[in-house]
Amino acid sequence: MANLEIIDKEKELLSRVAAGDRDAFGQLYDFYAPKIFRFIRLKVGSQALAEDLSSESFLRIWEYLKEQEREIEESFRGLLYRVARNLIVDYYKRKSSQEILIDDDFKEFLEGHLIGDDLRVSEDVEEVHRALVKIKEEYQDVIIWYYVDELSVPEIAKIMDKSQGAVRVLIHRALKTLKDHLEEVE
Amino acid sequence: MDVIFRKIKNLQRIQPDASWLIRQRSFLLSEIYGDQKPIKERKAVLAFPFFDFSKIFRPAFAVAFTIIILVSSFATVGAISASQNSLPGDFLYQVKTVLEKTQLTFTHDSASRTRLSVKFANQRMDEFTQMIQKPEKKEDIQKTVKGFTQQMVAVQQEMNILKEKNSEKAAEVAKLVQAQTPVYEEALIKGDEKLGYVLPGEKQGLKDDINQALEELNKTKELTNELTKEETSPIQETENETGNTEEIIVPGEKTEQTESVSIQFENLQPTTEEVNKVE
Repeated sequence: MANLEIIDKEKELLSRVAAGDRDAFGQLYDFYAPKIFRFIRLKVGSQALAEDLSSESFLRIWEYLKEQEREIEESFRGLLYRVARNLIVDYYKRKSSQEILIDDDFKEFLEGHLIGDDLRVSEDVEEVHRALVKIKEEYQDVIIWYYVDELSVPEIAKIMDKSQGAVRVLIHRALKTLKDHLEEVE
Repeated sequence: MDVIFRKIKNLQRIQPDASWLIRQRSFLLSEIYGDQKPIKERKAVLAFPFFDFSKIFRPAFAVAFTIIILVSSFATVGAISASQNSLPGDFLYQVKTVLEKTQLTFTHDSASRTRLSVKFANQRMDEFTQMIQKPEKKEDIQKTVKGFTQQMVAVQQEMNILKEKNSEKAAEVAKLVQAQTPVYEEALIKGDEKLGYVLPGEKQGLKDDINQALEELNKTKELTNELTKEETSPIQETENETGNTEEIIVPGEKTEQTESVSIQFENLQPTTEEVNKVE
């Protein structure tokens, strides 16, 4: 679905949510839950944690929508990613020491959680994940948002509260850094 | 750089547990909206025409309708679509297979039933290719292979029924099946090779199942070849000198039709005795 179509669909569903339509919120969940889970899972060390934070993201966004008396100024998905990212940051702040970001069970996790049957895909994903967790958080975020979830530069800029130019530079640097880490392995 | 983009894009294939998605959905919606069912849902259940099960005479319908009500009240389209990606051993796999059976129960037209059987065969093949990545789940892999074999038998049965009713439609559906059979064959053979590598001493039962599946696949191929040849053999009609229409079959491999036409022709021609009688 093209970005504009997604935004239009979101607006329609959000106005139905505002009118108390439970099914509309369900549809938003159906569309975004796998993406939010994926985003969080790539950044945290366990599936259970990713699941908890994903659920928390939706609860938090519901609370946010309830409080709003006027239309939200950014896209719903942008907001959702911002909430998810903040929850990850909060989680690590609460821990007394930094969790190991490279988790042992990611390969095992992939066995039941990868669409498609290609061994090569599984190896690629594992390789990219290993490189991703070595680069800084901002770089991880923009790589996932821009290349994996295909958000636009303006959307990413709103999430990160940066200018579009700054986001473009960030994407360029993030990709270069990731590439360096991937080439190290080779 | 293309290789890196390809590798990054593969991250899109990461997915959560289907069962977790459904559980969380129910949990979230109940947290957000409480226990109150929305008015739309209440009406949908009460308005269901077969809500009173005592009016249903056929057990198959009772089961199917129970399933429909349970599925529609348990979760929405999200649950059903989530079950589509489930594999043998998953919590939602039963939902998937029950939904397939329900679809078949409510499909009466042979062409549609054949197409559905092909669709389910595709599902089993897709499951097989995913399950062989988990060779330790030998029994679940066997389920997918046996399921595929059953679908091939179902496809053959439906095509034979359709052949009797409407040979043109049978040929049309046969072409659809023909397009799939090389894909199935390749997947089964490759899967067999792969499993031979990862389970060298353990896969005899599975090998037998795969051989059985290949056998049924061959029978399906033969049937589709037969049906598509019947349709593509053009028949030309010309008038012969005596004014009888004579059907000439353009050379092909359709000997059966040739025989039936020659019998027909013989019946049209008077015998020498009859000619003599008239004279």
